[in-house]
Amino acid sequence: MSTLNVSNITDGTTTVGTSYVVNGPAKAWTLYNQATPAITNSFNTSSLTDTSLGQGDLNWTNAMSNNSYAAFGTAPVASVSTPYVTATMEDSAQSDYRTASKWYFQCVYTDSSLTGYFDGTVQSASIFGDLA
Amino acid sequence: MTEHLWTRLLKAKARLKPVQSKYRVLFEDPREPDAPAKVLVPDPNFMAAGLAGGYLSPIETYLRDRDVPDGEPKEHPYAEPIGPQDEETLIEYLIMKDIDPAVWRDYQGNRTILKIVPVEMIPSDRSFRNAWRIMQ
Repeated sequence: MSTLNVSNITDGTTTVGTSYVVNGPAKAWTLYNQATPAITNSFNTSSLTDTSLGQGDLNWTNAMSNNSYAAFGTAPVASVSTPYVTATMEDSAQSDYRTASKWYFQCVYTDSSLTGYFDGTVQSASIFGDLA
Repeated sequence: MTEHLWTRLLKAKARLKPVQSKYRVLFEDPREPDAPAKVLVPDPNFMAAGLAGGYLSPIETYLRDRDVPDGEPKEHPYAEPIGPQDEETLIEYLIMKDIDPAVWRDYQGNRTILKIVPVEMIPSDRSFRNAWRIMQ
């Protein structure tokens, strides 16, 4: 295997440091269906744990260096007839809700009067930060 | 020098077709007696990398890394990759890697709290998801 050892990359007009390229991309991502449950597509994910309705955790094959990383989730619509707000978010009610190798999530819906968990059929999550 | 695990996973993703496992791991956490049974779903790209060999790190490195404090260098990203594994071995690998040892190593009680089951045995009806328990 060949290795390019360069400080910057340019397209002739714009130049960026290679550190942006190395450090910038998502370190892991997962597209999953919690209703099945199944993982549809992913990178650097070893498993999904379905722990209860709308709740679970994702496990990373290559851990992060610590639990100080950015995590993001998306959730599908909860109902075609009711305009709920939905989100897949960190489940910070769990102890150790985020470790270097695991991220707990919850998928929720809410409107002005109702709120609850639901199993999204098209949920996703991604993490950014420093690898171990 | 051994290639970093993350780089190996990039190559596996580019080269291998994902493999959906025939199995799921059903387990209960003895520290949460009132919680429903949990279902561990193996990742298809992880399974493909494990079956092919040459990508994943030895499970022992993950077990040793459990004792390494956050921010300290971990062993598993830099370990020599393991060879091809069969599906059953990879499921056992995931149990040790992704499930707390309180479930698979330390539990001394009489209840069956962990089962490897065919995917067809996982109920498709989620209506009573929060009441799922492992049948004894």
